[in-house]
Amino acid sequence: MKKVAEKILMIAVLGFSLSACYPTEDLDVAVNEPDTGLDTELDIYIEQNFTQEYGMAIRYKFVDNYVSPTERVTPPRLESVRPMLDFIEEFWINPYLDVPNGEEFFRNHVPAEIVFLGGLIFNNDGTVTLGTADAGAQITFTNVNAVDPTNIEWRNLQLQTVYHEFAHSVHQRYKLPNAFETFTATGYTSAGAWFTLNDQQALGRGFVSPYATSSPNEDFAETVAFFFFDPDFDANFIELIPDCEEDDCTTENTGRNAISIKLAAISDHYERVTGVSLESLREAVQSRL
Amino acid sequence: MKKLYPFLLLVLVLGCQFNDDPKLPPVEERVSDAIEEMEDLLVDPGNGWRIDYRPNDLGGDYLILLDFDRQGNVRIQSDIGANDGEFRDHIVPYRIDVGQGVELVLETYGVFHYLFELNQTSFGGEFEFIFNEEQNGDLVFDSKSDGSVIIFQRAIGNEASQISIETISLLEESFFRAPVEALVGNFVPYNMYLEDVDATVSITMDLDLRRMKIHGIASGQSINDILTNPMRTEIDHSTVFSISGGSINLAESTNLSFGGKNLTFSSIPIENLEKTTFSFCEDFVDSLANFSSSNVPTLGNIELTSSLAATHTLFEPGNSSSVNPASIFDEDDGQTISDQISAQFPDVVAFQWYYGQPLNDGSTLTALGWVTVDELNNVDFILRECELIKQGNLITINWTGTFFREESLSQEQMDGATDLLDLIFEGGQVYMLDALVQEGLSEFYNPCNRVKSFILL
Repeated sequence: MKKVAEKILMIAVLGFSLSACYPTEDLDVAVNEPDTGLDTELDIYIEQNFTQEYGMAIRYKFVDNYVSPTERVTPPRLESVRPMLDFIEEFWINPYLDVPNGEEFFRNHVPAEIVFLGGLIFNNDGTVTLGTADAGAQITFTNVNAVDPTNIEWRNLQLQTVYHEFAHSVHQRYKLPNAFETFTATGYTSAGAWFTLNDQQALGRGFVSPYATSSPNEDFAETVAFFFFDPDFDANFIELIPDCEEDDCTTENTGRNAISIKLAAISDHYERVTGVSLESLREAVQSRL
Repeated sequence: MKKLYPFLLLVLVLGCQFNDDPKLPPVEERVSDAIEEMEDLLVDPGNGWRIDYRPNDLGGDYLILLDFDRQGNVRIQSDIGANDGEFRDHIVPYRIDVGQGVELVLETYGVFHYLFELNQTSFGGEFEFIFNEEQNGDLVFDSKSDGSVIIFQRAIGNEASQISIETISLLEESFFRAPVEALVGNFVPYNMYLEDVDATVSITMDLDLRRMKIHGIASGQSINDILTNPMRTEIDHSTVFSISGGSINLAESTNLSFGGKNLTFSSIPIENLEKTTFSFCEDFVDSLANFSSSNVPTLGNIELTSSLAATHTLFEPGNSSSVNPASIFDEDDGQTISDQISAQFPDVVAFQWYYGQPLNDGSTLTALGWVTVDELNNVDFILRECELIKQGNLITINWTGTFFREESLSQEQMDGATDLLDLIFEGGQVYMLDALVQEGLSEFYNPCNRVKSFILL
């Protein structure tokens, strides 16, 4: 027993002697923290209108850890930041403020961080990413340097990105509508294969886009996004083609019918868990386009 | 055990003698000091810094001047005329980070980011610089992306006057065709007429990449001379260049004896711009830029004119190439015509050139056409035989009326394929233009309908 005690003492002394060699240093010191000083009018505007107002940090100055090491990106030009802020306020935030329960929903679900990138995201594998988000905590807007709300192609890219990514916050917090995965169960593509489909093939499977076929979560987000920003959503995805006899036509109508069923399920679920009407939000968005 | 007690006491007493220097300040102070030291270095020169910036070995030099202040901003002047001159003089915020080393980050979009993004970020530009060392007053940085070295030299004071803004503006007048798409650069063919020897030198310059190729020289001045005059010599000299002092300055000059005179190509003045017109197809009039200079050393009086015609091309019999249909463009709207192709001719995966392709029976095949792959992965070809007549870089296509095709193709598919070939080669002639971003990459350009695409020879 004594020998054991002596061994313990010896180990303790050695341990103490070694641990005592390390100077006390704070490990919570950020060595790569971006400067958060409010240097400019733009920074003050962001602080007042986004950070304090909604708890949403706007990152427009380049910090490499905002993107993956395999992604090559640039920051936006300074002059494009304010127009981009105006754009997201008008087309993303304000529609929620316009509808019953929308403001409360928006404030409770807003991502903590918005990242602006000047161009697109160039990946090491040669592909290009148009927009991205990180588990509801961060939404990344690409191609901010080309900011032009009157350019429909650019506008649709941005709106599709933000509505899509924000829609993820709903199923992440409240799950998908009941049995949502089963509505078009056979239409989903295997991992990484969604891009082998074209729009028409996706529609025939009951999806608003090829990317929607990649998983039920993406299906949910894509359907919400397209419903919000596409002024011809019904004509493009819901209304059945009359006098349908050819195989291609009946396949498409089957797909349209499936989208209609899924949209109804999403709408019901969305209003039930968030208190916000999907249709009202669409109207608020469309009135601005 | 008791014998060990003195040893244990010794360990306790001496154990900390191997500690770090007790005078070493805490990490946050060291970080702050490193940032401050870097900032002191950056703001120190009264005239700022000069970079002769060459992002990659394929391209030439850009002159960039930097002037840092202590408020976190840097004024950047450059001789890059892109985006309507946005990068000639601009201010962006900068930040000094301490991560793997001391890093200088240019935080919002400017000229370095423009160079970074060129060619889908493969151009070699950088906007994150890792400080390496101070060397005889210069600051040596490493590119964070590829480790290449970037040297900030102390500016003397008159460098801004060396930025040849006017020269670059003049050169931009040369773009009579719409800018070509990403990955193939921004190149312009020129013809330089040398009055003293009554001959024309064909040159292609990529003004973004700052690279040029001198193709060859032919007697005479007219387009017909350039394309057909038998008195011609191939030069095939490639070099990068810089722009300063009102001239394009070749990094590597070249010499040639022609018409009894020794010619040295080392510098080409860009001055006395006159706009002129020429019709490369009878339905169109193209606006060309013409620069003229007198008494250029060894060259005499010269006229440099943007053009489509060149004395030589890489396109030779034996060349065969596949083209992705998505890379066939209508220059008027900048869009690919792949939808048009797939609408008329579904399952097409490639547009195919065969130019004097040797066959097993000893004959050769010259044909243009399409490759398709159906749902069962059956590969089919539909090729339309033709005769290709090459004059300089002008290719004339004469269809023979013979088709080579798999029997499974329907008449409707054949008609669709034929219509598409007629569309692409409307007028029956295309110019082969060397793109300089990659050896062997050529653009074929139809001046009658502005359809173009790229083939790797």
